[in-house]
This record gives sequence, structure tokens and C-alpha cells, in this order.
Amino acid sequence: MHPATLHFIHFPCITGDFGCKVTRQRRGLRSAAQQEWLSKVLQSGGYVMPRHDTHLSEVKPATRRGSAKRLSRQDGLSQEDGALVLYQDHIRDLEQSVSDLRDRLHLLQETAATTRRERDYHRNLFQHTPAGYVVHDSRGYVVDCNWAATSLLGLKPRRALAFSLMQFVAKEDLPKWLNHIRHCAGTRELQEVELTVHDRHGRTLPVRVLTQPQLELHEHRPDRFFSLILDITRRRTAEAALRQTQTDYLRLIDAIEGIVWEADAHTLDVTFVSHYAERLLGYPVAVWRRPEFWLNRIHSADRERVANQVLRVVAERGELRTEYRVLNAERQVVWLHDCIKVVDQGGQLKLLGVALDITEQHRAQEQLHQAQTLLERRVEERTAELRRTVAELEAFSYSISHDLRAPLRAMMGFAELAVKVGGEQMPPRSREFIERIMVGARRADRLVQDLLSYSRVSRTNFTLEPVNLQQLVEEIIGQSPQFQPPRAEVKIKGPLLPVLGHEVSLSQGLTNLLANAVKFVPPGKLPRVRLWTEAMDGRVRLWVRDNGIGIEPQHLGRIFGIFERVHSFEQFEGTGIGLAIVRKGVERMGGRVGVESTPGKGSAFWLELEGVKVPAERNGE
Amino acid sequence: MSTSRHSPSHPGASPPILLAEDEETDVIFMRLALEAAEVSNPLQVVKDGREAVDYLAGNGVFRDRRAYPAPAVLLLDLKLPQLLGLDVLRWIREQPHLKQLPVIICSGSDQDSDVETAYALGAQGYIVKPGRPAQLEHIVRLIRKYFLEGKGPPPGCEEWLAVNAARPAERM
Repeated sequence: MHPATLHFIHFPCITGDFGCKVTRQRRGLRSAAQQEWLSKVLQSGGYVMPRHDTHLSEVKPATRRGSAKRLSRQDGLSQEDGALVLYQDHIRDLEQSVSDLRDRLHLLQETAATTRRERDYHRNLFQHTPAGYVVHDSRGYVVDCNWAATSLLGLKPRRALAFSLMQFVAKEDLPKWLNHIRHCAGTRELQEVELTVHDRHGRTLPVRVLTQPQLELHEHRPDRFFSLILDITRRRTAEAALRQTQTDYLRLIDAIEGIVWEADAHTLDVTFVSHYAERLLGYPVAVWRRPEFWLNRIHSADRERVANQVLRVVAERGELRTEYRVLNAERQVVWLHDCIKVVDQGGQLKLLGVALDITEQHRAQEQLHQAQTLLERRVEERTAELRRTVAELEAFSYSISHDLRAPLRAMMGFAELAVKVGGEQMPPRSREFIERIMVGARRADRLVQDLLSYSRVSRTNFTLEPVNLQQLVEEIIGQSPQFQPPRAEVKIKGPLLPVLGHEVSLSQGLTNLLANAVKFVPPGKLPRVRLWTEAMDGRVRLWVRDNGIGIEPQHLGRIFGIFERVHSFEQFEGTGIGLAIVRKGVERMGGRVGVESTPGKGSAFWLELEGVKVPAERNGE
Repeated sequence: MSTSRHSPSHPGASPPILLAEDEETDVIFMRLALEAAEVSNPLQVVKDGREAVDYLAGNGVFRDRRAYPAPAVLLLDLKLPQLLGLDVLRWIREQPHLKQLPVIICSGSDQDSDVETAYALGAQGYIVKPGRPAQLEHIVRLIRKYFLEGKGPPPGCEEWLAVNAARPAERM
């Protein structure tokens, strides 16, 4: 190429103002011939362009070439010199082409910028993904990887490309890795594997690797793999902690001195049992899970009952506490107390139970039962003995009443007859003595009779019925002259409330009380007796107040006792049994007796019995 | 005051009162009471249960009904030798010819079981021997009135019930 041509081959010639540029470039031209040629070209309205510019070649119109050649032949500047002469219409075409090209360039530049932005965006995304992402070949050599992957493997980002993933996989896991890749390539599908890796700093971490082979349309094997590497240290720690917790719980459950168990609610087969089952019954934990093992260990006498109870509790979703016998490995009976609950575990019904060994309690209970039986038998024997004794005593009292009263009757009768027969001729002293015999015998006879009454009150069984006290007291007064004027003045402040009692016993008791009331009165004073009742909280208290001599406070405690006499027989006749009969009778009717007294003024005896419940008119309110 | 046992009656006299009693004094009191109450019927006394049965059945010496006529009423003590009063009563109830014989128990005690059994066996009365001769005389008058002159006391006769022991069910 001609050296001068080089000066023309200048890009700004095209892009800038042609005329001016060439003018300016002209300064660089050395030969006068060249300058002259150029000016001629310029004068003829042409331009000189480097020949090798492909774009210009293309746009060069063929019709103008001849004149360009002509020019070059005339002016010695040939095409061989690398110059091309262009004319004005050429230049307009060229300008148009350049404008088009500039548009295209601009478009291309814009597209390139967009692509660059997108590439950067995705690169960024790739780099910042929090999971390790590695593009590698089948031997594990890293083609690309993100920061998470490098940091996971302990690498500097730039250096990753020098490694194969296999260098990090723990030795024992290498077959697993190779298998994984082979599988991945074979199936051409996503595969996953869990491995242990050692990073560049020697740390060990468990990872989960998901690998997707590059999907190629061609037949040949893909040699690009995209692997997602996840650090599962945390998961492993959590799993280990969970396992530890489970172990702790199991240890705790095994420490319980009771069988903790779980079973299927429908088959009743055991799904879990604590180790105590083995300690207590001798069957290894494993055999408990055999179908029907547990049911068949239950004592045949209890099996059906327990199975029915369990089925019922399953149907009711309730709770069950039951006791039954099981046979241990040595065929001995063990008593269990089982507390069973039905729980819903994710739609599946389970039985949870805790069975405690109560063999000892049962043994103790049995012994207690035996002791009780023995005791009951003894009590029965003693009772029979007592009954015999009571029967003997009754026979004894019968003899007393019969045999003792016969001679007394003889004494009374003959003494009375002696006085009658003796008549007026009898010496007064003899008459007095015989009368004393009569009094003595009568007193002894009364005593025997009262004793028999007392024993009858103590023994007889009776049922309680409503008693009309008003009517009863009126009858008693009406039947006995000693309670009527002029001997006494007995008044009822009625009406007396009805009570629950036994009429005959009550009649005897009231007669005794009234007899007492009119008896203990100073000579010459008219006995005045007042009777009334008061209701006390469902009970009725009957008062009998007299105007008698009263009772000294120190005697109040003992006047209801048998044979207790406060006064001498000479002062006031009596056996000392009357009030004892009253008390015994009232107590046998479920009541109480008592007395209040002012010496010299009188006493007020009371007896208290259950009242008769009249359907009260206020009940409805 | 005779203490003799049974003695043959005079023919043509009214039927006797038969007293089964082993206690000498009680026999005396009964005789005195009968005398005082001017009862004309003779008193036949048997000393034990066996003799009472023999008399009523006409066994042995008692076969002679002229000397030992059938009694108008039997006063029966309970505590008798040989055969107890209640056994005598039970035997009487089994004899068809003694169906009409009024039996009145005369006992020293009024034990519930005795009273109950006596009434259940159809005794017409149950008298507890009184301590005073005057009371016995009153009872004897009632016996004459209701059993010798009449045909038993009417039902619910208060005069008669007052001297008899009440049934256990009617007391305690």
C-alpha cells in the first residue's frame, strides 16, 4: 500500500464533515502530485476513500466506478494505491447507510446494556442466594459457584474453580456421592443425597445435596450438573436434641415403678411398654408387641371382664380404673391396678395406661378379710354366748318373780288375816308388829315388781308410732284417783303436741313421772302439777312441773339411776326404780330425760322425743 | 282351815272347782277366798300337772266320777311339778270332751311368753296371784259370776279384764 494512502484511511473522514476533514487532512499529504490529484477530485465533487473498507465497497455504485478509475488513471492515484473516489450522490447514500448503521449500533448498544443489566442481576441473584449453588462436571470440578457455596466449603471465591467437590466429601461417603452422580446422570432427573463434608478448615458438616443434570437434547451424556448444597447441621442438632429428649423421657418412664403402656384401641395389641413390665413380670419388652400377648397374660377369670371394660371405655372415649390378675413368667399371679385412658392420636384411637403392682395390698386385704371373718365368727360365738346368758338371766328373773313373790304373798296374806282374826282382843303391840311385817312384805313385793318392769323396759323391742300425748295424759289422770282432786290438782296447759313413741311404755313412764310429782310434797300441802309441751327443732319436750320439795343440786345427777333414793323410805315410799324405768323407756324410744329443780319450791321433769312431722302448711313457701 | 288334798264330794252337790296348785299357802288363800265369797261349789285340789291330767281324764282313783265329778272350772298354776301348767293346758285342748272347760291360769308371774302362750292355747283368764286376801276374794267373786253362774265373761268385759294380765302385744 502507498504510504500516503494510510493518511486517508481515517475513520473520521466518514463520520465527520467530509469536506472539512479532507481539507484538514490535506496538511498531512506530502507529494505535490497527490495534493493536486486530491484537489482535482475535490473540485470534481468527489471524495477519496480507502479501498479496503468493506462497507464502502458495498455501497459503491458500479456506474461511478469507471469515472473513479478514470480519475485515478489520469492522476496516477490508482485503486491499487488503496484509494477510492466517491462522488456526491455516493456520499448521500453512504450518509444514509451510516445513519442506518448508527441506529443499528445504537440499538445494539442498548440491547447489550439491557443484557448486561440482566446478566448482572441474575449473577447477583446467583451469588447472593443463601444456599450453596455449584455448577460442576461429572467429576465434581467446579465450573461456577456462588458465595454461599464457597463460604460453605471455606473457600475464597476466586479459588473455587480449582477444586472438585469430591475433595470435600468425607471418605466414607464417596461411594454415596459417586452413586448419586451416576444416578443423576442415568435418570436425568433431580436427585438428592445426604453427605458429610469437610471444609477447607477441616470442619465437618452434614449437608443435603440436590443435583439436577443439564438437560441436553443431544444424545451424548451431560457433563454439567447443578447442585444445591444445604447445610443441615441445625436440623441434625435438632434431631439429636429430639432423640436425646426422647431418650430422657424413656429413661424417666422406665424409672416409674409401674408399667406404662400404649396399645391400639381396636386390636388391643400393645405398641409400647416401659421396661418395668420386664422387671415386674419377667417378659422381655420385645415380646409384648406380639398380637394378643397382653390379653393372654391376663388371668382367665378376669380376661373377659377386662376386655369388656376396655371395649366399653373405647366406645365411650372415657377413662377406666380396674384391677385384675396377670400371670408372670414364673406362672405366679400378680395383681395389677390399671388406669386406662383413650386418646385420639391423629385420628387413630390409642389406649394409654399405667399399671401398678398391688399384689401386696391384695394380700393384706385378704389377710384383713380373713381376720374379719374370724372376728365375725368370734362375735357370733360371743353373741350366742351372750344370748344364752341373757336367756339364763331371764329364767332367773322369772324364778325370782315367781318364787320370791310366793313367800311374800304368804307373809302379806297371813299378816292381814292374823289382824282380821285377832280383832279387838289382839294386844296393840302384836298388831303393830304384824302390821310392820305387812309393810315390809309389801315393800319387798313392789321392789320385785319394779325390777321386773325395768328389765322388761330394757329388753322389749318396740316400734315407734305417733302418740297423741294430750289424749294419753288425760286417760292417765282420769284412771287414777291419786291425780285427781281432792288428792291432787293436775292441769294440762294444752294442747300437748304429738310425739313418736311407744304408747304403753310412754304411759308407764308418764304415770311414774306424775306419781313422783304428786308424791314428793310436804305433808298437808296440795300437790299441784302442770304439764305442757314445747317444740324444739323437730323434737317435742314434755314438761311436768310440781310444787314439791324439790331436789338438792348435788342429787340432780343421780336421781335417774336405778336404786337411787334421795329420801328415806319412811319419808317417801318408793323403790328408787321408777325414774330409772322412765329414763330407760324414753332412751329406748330415742329420747332424753332431764330435770330442773329449786329445793323447797318444786321440780320440773322433762322428757324429749321425736316430734310427729305434720305436713306443714309453710313447706310449700 | 284344811290342808288336805282332794276329797270326795257329796253326790248331788254342784260341780267342783278344780285347783291345780302345789303351794300350800296359795291353796289356803284360795279356800279362804272361796269361803269369804260364799261360793257353794266344792274345791278339788291336785298337787301337780300329772294329777291334774289324771283327774280330768278320770284315771286311777279319779275314775269314780261320783267322788270326783267333772269340774266346772279349772284354776291352773303354771309352775307345777311333773307336768307344767302350760303342758296341761295343751293336753286339755287336745281332748274333745274338755272343749267346754274354762281354764283360768293362776300364776305368780306375768312373764310375756307365758301370758302369750296361755292366751294362744285358749285360757279364759290369766290371773297374777294378788298379795292381799281381799283382792283374791274379789277375783273369786268374778269367777263365780262369770264361770260358775254364767257362761264366761262377755267380750271386752272391763271388770274381768282388769284383774287379768294383759297380752304382751297390748303392753310393752
